[in-house]
Amino acid sequence: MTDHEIRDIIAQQLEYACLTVMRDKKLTPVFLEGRHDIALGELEMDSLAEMELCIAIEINTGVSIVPNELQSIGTLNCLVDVVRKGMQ
Amino acid sequence: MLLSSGFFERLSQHADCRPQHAAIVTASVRLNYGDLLRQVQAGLEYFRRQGIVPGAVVGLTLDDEVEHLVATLSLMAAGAGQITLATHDTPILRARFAERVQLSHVVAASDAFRVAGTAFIQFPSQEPASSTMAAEVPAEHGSTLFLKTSGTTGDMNIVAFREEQIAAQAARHDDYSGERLLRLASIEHNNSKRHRLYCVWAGGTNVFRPRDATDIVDFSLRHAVTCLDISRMHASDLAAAGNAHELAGVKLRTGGSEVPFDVRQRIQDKVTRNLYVRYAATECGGIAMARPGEHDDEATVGRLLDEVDLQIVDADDNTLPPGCMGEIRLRAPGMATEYFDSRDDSAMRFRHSWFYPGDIGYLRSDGQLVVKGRKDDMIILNGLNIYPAEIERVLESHPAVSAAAALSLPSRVHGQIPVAAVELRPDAVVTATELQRYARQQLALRSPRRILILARLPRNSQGKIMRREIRPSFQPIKSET
Repeated sequence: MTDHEIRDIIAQQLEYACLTVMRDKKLTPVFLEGRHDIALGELEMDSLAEMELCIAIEINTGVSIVPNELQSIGTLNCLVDVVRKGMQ
Repeated sequence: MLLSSGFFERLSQHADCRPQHAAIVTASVRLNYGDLLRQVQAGLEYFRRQGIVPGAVVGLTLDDEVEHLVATLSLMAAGAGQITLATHDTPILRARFAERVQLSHVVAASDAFRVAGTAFIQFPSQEPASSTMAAEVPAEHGSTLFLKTSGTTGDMNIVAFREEQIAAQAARHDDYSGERLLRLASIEHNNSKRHRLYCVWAGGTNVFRPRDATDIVDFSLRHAVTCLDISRMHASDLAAAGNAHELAGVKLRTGGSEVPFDVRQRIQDKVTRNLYVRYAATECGGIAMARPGEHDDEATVGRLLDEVDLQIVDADDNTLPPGCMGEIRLRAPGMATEYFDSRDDSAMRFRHSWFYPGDIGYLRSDGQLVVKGRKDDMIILNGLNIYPAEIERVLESHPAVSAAAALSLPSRVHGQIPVAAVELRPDAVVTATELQRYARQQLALRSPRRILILARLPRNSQGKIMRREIRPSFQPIKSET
């Protein structure tokens, strides 16, 4: 799985969760290309959105992350790193 | 000892006996039982003015937990039926439930949650309350609480509980009267709503967490939570928090999904030794509870709660002795006797005055119950029960799909995660992402989290889809280094 595919899984999930910050700031394309990083705090995910993001990552990559760990990961690019390392 | 079968009467008794005792606590609000009674009376008065009469059926779409609980109690006092049409459910799903229970009104904070064919009532009321009013609810119009649960036939089942049934379930549950209860799942979820009501019944304190309070440990300590009731996922999550040991004095209750022994050990090591693992069903409430000191490598769900009559039976309904594995059946006060509008599932699950939850297990000679799994292929995602048929029915309603098979993948964190594989109609063009979006609109939280489009679903010689053979197709692709 490529970094781009990992980013796509995360971006799709954020789209499902209707996180307007991604859509309003047109961040998805630049995030997919790895040209922009976004702080997880900036996304203002509620607990349901966090849970769904963890499920999407686990089901598509096999990497288990509990929602609490998301808080300490910091940014979406760091999350991509965590997933990539977890898959190796 | 307080004796009553109605929640309004019970609430009135608490308000009389200990009016200053905290009923509701949030980050910014504290309501004692006197305050709560007044709010419920005002809600009752408002709902009556809006035309809600005994026997009306009302959909509640309120994600503010305090407003939801006040509206619930007010509707009970009004003798109206109620069903939660959750804000996290899609409009399609809310409309389907509204139709099934023949909803007369929808109570919501915003008219964005209107449902066609029903009257809309904004809540909380924007009008000042004019006076207090005693609820005179004729016994024959006791209220009904409609709870949703999974169904085997492709649609969710609805259980209609009379108020006194919820009261009977509350009475056998561990006493909440001295507790300050925090549940992380919203009151919009069945099980949370039920336990919030149990807590009111007992005269305990319902603590509600605001959405932005992400540090559960800090919030629990600041609001003196004594009982934290959370899903297995939240419990695993909590065990990973650096400050979790600060909750050592709190009772931690979990259940809904199987809680393996290693997960229990981690919770006991990292969070609290006061760990309780519950076995319950939407159809009857609490069944058994494993308490501190009872957790062992058989992952028992503990001894039966008071007045629960439970047997392990073979395929011919013969009772099996302790230690023998078989199907669980039970009966208990407050148990449902049928599903609201599903004759087939009712006939399967409710037989000869017993309820068959569909679980396999055994009773040990020390009286502890061990649940080993499901008789059928029900999926349990973070305590949410989902039947594959529900997912398959929705996917097969898509014009591009000729056949669908839903199954679960095991997860250490979430229990099981629903996924699906589909076979398309000849020449149909659709992507997995489009199908996933379609399924989400129809199923919300019950939707498959991954969908694969296969050239052909594997079938046996009788044409039956072999789900087990599909599972390896969901193997994640290794990362490129």
